[in-house]
Amino acid sequence: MSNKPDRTPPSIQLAAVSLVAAVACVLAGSAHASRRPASASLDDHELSARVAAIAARVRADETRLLPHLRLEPKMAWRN
Amino acid sequence: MAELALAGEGLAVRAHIAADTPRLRLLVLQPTPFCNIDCSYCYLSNRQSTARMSLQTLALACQRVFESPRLGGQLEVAWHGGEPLAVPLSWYDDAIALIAERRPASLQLSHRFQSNGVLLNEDWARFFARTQARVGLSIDGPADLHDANRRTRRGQGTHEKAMRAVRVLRDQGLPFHVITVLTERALEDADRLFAFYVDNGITEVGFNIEEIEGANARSSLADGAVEARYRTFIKRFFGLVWDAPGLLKVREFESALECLLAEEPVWDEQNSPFAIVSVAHDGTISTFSPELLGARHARFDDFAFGHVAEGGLADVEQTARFRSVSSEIRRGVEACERSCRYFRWCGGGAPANKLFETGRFDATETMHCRLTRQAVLDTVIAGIEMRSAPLAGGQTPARASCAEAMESRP
Repeated sequence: MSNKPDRTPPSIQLAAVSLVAAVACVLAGSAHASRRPASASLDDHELSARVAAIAARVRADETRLLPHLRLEPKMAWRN
Repeated sequence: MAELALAGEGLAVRAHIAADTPRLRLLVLQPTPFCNIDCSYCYLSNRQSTARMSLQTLALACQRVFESPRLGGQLEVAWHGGEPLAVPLSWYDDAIALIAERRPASLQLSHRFQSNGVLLNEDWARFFARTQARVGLSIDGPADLHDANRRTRRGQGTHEKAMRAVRVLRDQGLPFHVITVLTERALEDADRLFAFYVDNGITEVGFNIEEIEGANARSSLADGAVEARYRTFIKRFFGLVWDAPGLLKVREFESALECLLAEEPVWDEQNSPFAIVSVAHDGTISTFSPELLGARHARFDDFAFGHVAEGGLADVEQTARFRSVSSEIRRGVEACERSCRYFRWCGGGAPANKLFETGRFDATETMHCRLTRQAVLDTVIAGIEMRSAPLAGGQTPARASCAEAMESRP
């Protein structure tokens, strides 16, 4: 979608404070050179390790892009 | 233990509660069970009833909540239904004034409405602006997807009216989000849904699924083969969102990432007694999943744990029915903790979905958690891994589109 900016009506404002967008920005760059295959069925330990690696990667750049995002460990009701 | 002092309506209550007890942060009010449309997947059994909450009942509900030592410093009031806009706007003028008068002075209070949009007009938009209420519209995407399930009782589609509500809110400059219920029919349409949101100025979206819950005993997603297609949909949609940073905020991805990055294990407010309090139009009090309000089940009859005219939340806590449900929900969370590798980032699943899918609160895995939690967490983890540079690479330059997205943050 990023190569089709003309699809966005001019009146549209970008979504406010998106954590996904912030992390996408943090992790942008040499992504194509470092792509790794991703598996969806791994054991508990490996899942934890993968999440820890992502968190470490994001936090390494946290001061630049994430200081205003409040991370609350809560699963909220969604309806 | 922490000692809390609360004051409201001339009432001062001091009580001891554990310092780590989750605070009451969400009050779900059902001004009416009535809904002006008749969605095929609705979980409410009494949505034809035009009963309305009286202001006296609302005042009692406020009293019970505001006097509770469980109340935190912030409270969100979610006006839910039925269709909340089926109640006249003048009623809300009185209701919100009543709540404002009676709230503790220190309480930060906000309102939100979840509407099908059919009745939303400029007057409602001005009301939302005046009260700074957040608005969510239920729209299932383009007309063919939306009108397949969201119809009037006469079978007419409601998409055109829902989209008029989008235009009204946009024209008034009011922020809003959209909730889309995903059915099997939508699973091939990730790109079309993404384009629909972007083209219509919708910047925040939440995906619900067609749930097996309450009056809706079946789901088009309850099949193993469909689950694989659901995962494909989520994966595709995540890619679309990721590749256009800031254009569309999707609640599921935001929540999953927030849980993954949180340093503490996640807890689910639906599993914590009185973190959510639900009050029906007739003053019935419930807690845990708001979908339990008005629901019936063979093992528990209903989930009316109390009534605002008969006692406060502390009284509810002493009832046999509450204790039975609470105990079974706790056992379910403990079973999830023992058996599920996603527990740290989930918090134990939604009690209402456990009950209506399995017949028990102390169950573990459900279709709801496989689709809305496991599939989303897997997608976000794998999606980020595929797109991220190794930590050893040091600082990475943000793309131009990223910089623009971040500059738009308030």
